[in-house]
Amino acid sequence: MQFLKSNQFIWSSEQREYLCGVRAAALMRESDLFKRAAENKFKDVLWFQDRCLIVEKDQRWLVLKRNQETDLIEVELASSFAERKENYDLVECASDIEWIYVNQNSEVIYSFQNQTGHPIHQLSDALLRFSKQGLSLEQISEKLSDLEVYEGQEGGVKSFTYRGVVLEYEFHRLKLDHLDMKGEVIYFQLKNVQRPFEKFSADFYKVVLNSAAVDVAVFDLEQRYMLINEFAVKNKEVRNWLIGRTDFDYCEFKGTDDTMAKVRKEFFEQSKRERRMVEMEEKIIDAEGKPRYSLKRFKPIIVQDEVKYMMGFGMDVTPVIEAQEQLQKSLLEKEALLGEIHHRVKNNLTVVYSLLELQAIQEKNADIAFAYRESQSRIKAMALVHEMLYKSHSFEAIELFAYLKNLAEHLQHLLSVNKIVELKFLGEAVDLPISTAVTCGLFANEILTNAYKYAIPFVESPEIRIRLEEVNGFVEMEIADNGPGLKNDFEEGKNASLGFKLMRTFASQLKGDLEIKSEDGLRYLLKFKK
Amino acid sequence: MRILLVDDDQLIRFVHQMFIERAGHEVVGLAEEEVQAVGLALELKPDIIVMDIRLENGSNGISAMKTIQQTMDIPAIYISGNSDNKTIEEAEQTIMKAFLVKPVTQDEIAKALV
Repeated sequence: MQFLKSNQFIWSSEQREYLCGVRAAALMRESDLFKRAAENKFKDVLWFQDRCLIVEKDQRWLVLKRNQETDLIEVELASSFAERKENYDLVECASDIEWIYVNQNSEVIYSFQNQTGHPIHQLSDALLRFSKQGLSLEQISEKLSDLEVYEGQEGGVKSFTYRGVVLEYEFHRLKLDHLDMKGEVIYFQLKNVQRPFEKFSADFYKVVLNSAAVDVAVFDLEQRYMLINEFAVKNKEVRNWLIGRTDFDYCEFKGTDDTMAKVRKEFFEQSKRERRMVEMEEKIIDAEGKPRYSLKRFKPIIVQDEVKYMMGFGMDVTPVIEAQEQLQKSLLEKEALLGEIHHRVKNNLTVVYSLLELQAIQEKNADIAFAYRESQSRIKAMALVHEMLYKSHSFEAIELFAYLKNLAEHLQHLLSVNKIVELKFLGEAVDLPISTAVTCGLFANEILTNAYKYAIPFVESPEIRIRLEEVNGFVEMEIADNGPGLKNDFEEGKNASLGFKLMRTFASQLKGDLEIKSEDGLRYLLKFKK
Repeated sequence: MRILLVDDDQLIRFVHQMFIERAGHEVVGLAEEEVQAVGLALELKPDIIVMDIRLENGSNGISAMKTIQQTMDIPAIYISGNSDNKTIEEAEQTIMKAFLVKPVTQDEIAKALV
């Protein structure tokens, strides 16, 4: 069977080759077979309604033809199809017909599809796909639950649903029993397409519009109402009255302030100007005096690149807003509570600090008094964290540079009795979690109190330098004094004071590296991962 | 100098009283909340009021000083754990000798009272 237009199909019983489509057409034109046919060297060249059927001698071609009287497809061997019959039409010419060829073992050999672009192609594609997988018709039938192959010879009607569209097919089953062409042809003919939406009338859309649980309105470009659904305005008379009028007219009608109309106008114009949907939140007081919140949206209707109308949507979002407010309130309460806790902790530390202060000022022995001061400074280092947290109202992080400055300045007052100590700060803000910041503070406190004990009393113009930087994810904290440094015979393992041991403990707690250098004073460099 | 000491924490009142007395001044009255502070200030007419800011029953030391200073120009030395800018700005609206942040040393109180 050969066709010379778009739906070409070649089936050769001898070579068992199947070709269809444009490629077949090209092959045909170049083939000897075509040339011979064109030259009319063969007898069996038949023409059917602008289609050419070529039957070569001693070769058999399968022909599918539609009987125009019965509208049924018939099949026969081309070799016996010797003369032109006007009441037949080739299947290829029928745009609404699909067919598949099944051999005697119920194996799908090939399917043929029309070229109309109709959804029926989906069915055809499925059949083709399954046929390539070598599935039998029964297996295909199982896969396509909506498709049942009619067992009788007469055919039947079955429906197939594709993307909500109901397709009704009439299908036929034809037995083949001609020499080596044994099997059967099953073909489908689309009889009816039901598109549910096509059935909806204007009334249907009106019902849908008025049943929508959101405010819907259509405006002209002057923001005059063209359409309002029942959900937006329940009173029919008011709804009708509003057509052709604006929100300003409505406010005037009700004798209310037009602020709301002005705000709506602003958003309406913005949406129109920017050709995009804009939204606003509207607060109104209902009849019971309770606040209600509505989310309003304006969206332009653009036809041929021109804003023709504007749509307005409104939705009651009061429960959402109330839930947000409740959450916000809970958050504020939590923050207030956290603030109060930090305040209380700081107060308690303050009491301990003050009691130590009392003991320190009553103590005659200077060494013991300094020991009290050391304890005070440690408490201060902790109290300062709680104070900063309380002040910042942020309970997650502490800015270490400000914290160190604050601590150093406090220790200057607490520990430096007769000398002015110059404090030099270099660095940048570094935010750290609370626990890390407290450890850093205690670490710095030990260095600073050591400086006041072992360096500052021995130099004329004492100086403390603090540097803080964040380098490649590591925090570098350097604290140095200009005192005499460590004694030559100092061995950390042997001579280390409590302060030294604490420093090592804090450095280890921070999983950091501590470097201590005694040159032009004493310099501590702590590096740890942020 | 005759000092009125106001703080909602009894222990802090005790410690600060000792600091003040060791600095050579006299604590003429102790109060823990705003109404009491205003009453004692008007009654005792101290030279300085050492005032905490967060007081008992949610009352406020700055508010107490504003009430007192409507009648008398008694200066305040605030000693508070609240040292945020807003609190300090509010305190600056009253007659103030110093604003100390808790915890304080005796030396700091003594210097502020000079």
